[in-house]
Amino acid sequence: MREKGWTYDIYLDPNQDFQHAMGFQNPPCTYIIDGTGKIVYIHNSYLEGDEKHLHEALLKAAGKK
Amino acid sequence: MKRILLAFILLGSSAFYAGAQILNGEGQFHGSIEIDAQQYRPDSLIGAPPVPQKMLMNTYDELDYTNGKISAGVRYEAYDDALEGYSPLYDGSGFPYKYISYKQDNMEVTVGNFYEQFGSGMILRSYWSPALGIDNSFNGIRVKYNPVKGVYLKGLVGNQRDYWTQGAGLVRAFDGELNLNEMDSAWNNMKTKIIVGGSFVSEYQAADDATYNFPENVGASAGRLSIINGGFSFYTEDAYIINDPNAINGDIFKPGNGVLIRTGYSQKGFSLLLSGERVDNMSFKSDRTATANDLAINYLPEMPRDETYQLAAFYPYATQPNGEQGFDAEVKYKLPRGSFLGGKYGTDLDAEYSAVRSLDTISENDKTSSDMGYNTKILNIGQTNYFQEITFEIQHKFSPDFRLIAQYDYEYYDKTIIQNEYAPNIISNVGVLDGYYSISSAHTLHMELQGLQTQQDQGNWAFGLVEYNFGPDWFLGVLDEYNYGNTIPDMRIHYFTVTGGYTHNALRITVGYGKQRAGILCIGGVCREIPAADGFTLSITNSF
Repeated sequence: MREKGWTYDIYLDPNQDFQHAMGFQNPPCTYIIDGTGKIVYIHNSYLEGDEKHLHEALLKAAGKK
Repeated sequence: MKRILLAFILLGSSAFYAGAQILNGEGQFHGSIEIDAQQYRPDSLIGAPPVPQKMLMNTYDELDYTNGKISAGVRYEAYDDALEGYSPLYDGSGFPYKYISYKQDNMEVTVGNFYEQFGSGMILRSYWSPALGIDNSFNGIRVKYNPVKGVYLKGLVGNQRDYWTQGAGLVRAFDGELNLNEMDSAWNNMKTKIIVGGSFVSEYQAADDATYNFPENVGASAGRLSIINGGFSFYTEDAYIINDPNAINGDIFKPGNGVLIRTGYSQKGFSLLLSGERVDNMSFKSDRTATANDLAINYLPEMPRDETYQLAAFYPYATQPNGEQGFDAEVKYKLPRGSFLGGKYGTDLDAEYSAVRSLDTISENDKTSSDMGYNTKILNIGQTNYFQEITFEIQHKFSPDFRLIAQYDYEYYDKTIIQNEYAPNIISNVGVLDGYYSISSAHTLHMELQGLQTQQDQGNWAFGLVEYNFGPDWFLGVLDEYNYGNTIPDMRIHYFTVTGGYTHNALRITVGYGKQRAGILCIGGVCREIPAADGFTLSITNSF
């Protein structure tokens, strides 16, 4: 994390409790949760190029607020 | 057939609820579905055996309900019949996982099935990995209690899942962890973060053997320490098992001991991680007659990393619970943006070395101590090399649209020890080129070229992959794995596969058709054999 220069918080899920609560079996799975706690975007799996759509979804979610 | 229908009804209803939450007062339902189906056509050339059922399927469906402090859930599994490579003991269906849990401010109680891990897992870890066919959940009671700030206590009692029944051994376990920085507000913002923990596990199994005086209670303990200070991190764990004669160690009464150390330094653009472990007679199961991956109470640390590239993962390492000592070092460095070698976007460099050796053991031949099996000296290094790997990787972005990864991998692999079948040691060299090209804002092209060179086993292999991402929802790919270097000309086979898929929110559907080489899948040092296959594959996952 430090080597990459990422400054946001990362939480570890050593007993897979969070994975179980969210219900996905195969990471990666991306969720965007807005300020009210509602899940506004879900995307299972990752293929190159998905980050552009994630960026659009983030802008949309932020724009709402 | 009924089970397949049930699975599709559940899939249909989950698709209906996908993305939404059902509100019932304050309560919420959520859940997940996974269906993996495969068609099997006999193909003697690749070693795909005839499968009378022609198609096999694994299904896992879970439904959970949460309402305030209470949550409950159930998982349905059906193996109609179990996919090749999974134990036929799974054939059938049922509800192997169910629980009710009550959680309030500083306490949580779970009754039913649950998963748990103490520290790194060296004396206790239960988890669910459908890819490996592992589910060693506990069935009993677990209490988590947080009496004061920074103190975390856990206690559990239960038997472990064993396919559709339970292990004979009853496990009782306790874990305490102190997070020093949380304990006193004066330490909250201290730069040094310290966590200390200790665990104790006892397993009871009745013994009624004419030859051996098996201990009915087997005790194990472990202590751990974690220190983080800015970019420095240090973690160590030491575990001890009193005496556990079992099928894995040949019924010896020698105590078991395991040590793990992980330490590192990282800053922006650079990191160094060093790991070392020593494991001596550390197989710990809740049935002394259990074998393979069944009924494991603990999980041993893995030194070599899990490889993701197809040919680099050809010869994966499996942790040896009876005895091994390992070392791993990884360095990462980012050549800065704008520098001569870094280029406009920077270049990532990664180098890793890992090695695992046997312990230095002396057999106990004296009659009075032969039931101890062997003796070892802690600081000595064993004579046999089990595994060695050196990896170099460079990642460089040439333009906003094009990125390339190049990897070289050298490996030494003791196949006799690791795969438990007599074979020469394997020395291999693997090269990988992995490129990503953005065609447009929505579409991406992904191409891989790999080569494996070895003079042993099946000889040289080549691998090629082309995958097109019609973002964000669709992808289509073709891949070929070609054993061009096999000494037997008839065995120079192309394992050609076409694959495609659709992703929407949490739903993912993947379809494939082609030949699959026999291989081994390893995750964290725990492995499952994947037999050769020829035919269609279908995988559907969804959560709601």
